[in-house]
Amino acid sequence: MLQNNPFLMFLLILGMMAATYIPRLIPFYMIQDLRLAPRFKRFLELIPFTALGALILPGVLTSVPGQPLAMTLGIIFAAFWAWCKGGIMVPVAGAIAIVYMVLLIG
Amino acid sequence: MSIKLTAKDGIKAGIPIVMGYIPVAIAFGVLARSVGVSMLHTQLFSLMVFAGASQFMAINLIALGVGMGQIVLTTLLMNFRHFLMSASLSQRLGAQPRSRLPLLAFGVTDEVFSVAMTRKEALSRHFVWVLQLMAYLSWNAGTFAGYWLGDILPPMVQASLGIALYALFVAILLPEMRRSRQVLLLALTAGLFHTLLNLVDLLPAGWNLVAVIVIVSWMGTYVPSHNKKGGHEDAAE
Repeated sequence: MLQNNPFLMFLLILGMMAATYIPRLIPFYMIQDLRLAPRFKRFLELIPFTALGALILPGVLTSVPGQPLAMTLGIIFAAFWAWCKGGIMVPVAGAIAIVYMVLLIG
Repeated sequence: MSIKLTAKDGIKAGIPIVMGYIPVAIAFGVLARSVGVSMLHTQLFSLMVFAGASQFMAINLIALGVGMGQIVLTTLLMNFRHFLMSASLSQRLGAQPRSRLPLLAFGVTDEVFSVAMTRKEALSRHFVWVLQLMAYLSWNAGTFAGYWLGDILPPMVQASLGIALYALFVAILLPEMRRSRQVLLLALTAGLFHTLLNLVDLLPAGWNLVAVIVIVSWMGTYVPSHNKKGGHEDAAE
């Protein structure tokens, strides 16, 4: 097994570092001096919102394994609060508290 | 966009990332230990790789006895989304000294990217750096704590912390969705499309997310944006 070989584990981590860092690094050098077409610029501006949508769904559905009710109530609270009042701390802390309470009761 | 975000603004903006990261990093430390990964290697994962989802994936594959090459390849596929995020962030930051780029690139995580890019003000590299540093320190502190103290946390507390990052994403996204019907439409489309692709199970791990981001963002450039609150953005001509 991999975890029992310190050298192979280090190689694995090194490989994963490269596989993570290189995709993060290359665009910085590519985009810097480039004059972008308006549509491509708009494309890049929209990425945060589509990425967030796709990061939330469907991952959130399995975020609290085996506890769909707790997860649903927690995320509904976060969504409701963020929509109506904004802010980040209350939705995050509140969602954790709600999930914990539902698990405690259930 | 006249106000420029400073390092000081970064501290305030980084607190929710810290809150979201610490519990998840604790879970990572607990998981790594349970699979028999040494303390040193567990910490090296967080120090050198600094990519939450990939680190969890790696531990799970190690437990299954999957080989090194396949784990590294899966990491590359999973992190290709950061290629898109770096491109987007780099465009928004504008020209920076070339010597500063390697450090800016290291900390482009989903959370840092999301928090930075949804700000209306102009970004500075110092603002982004502070976000990244806070994320990095909390990710590593959480990993350390999880490895040593994970057993002390009741399983119920650990389970409830699983919601933290998703609550963070929701808290970042929903005000934007309320502000712009275009964002509402695109984010929902992206989430539903991603769910659908995962059900179909056609592409290798990580590529569903990349495909969704590219396709839906590109479609979005054809959707006119009518911002409710004094926005000025329009679809590209």
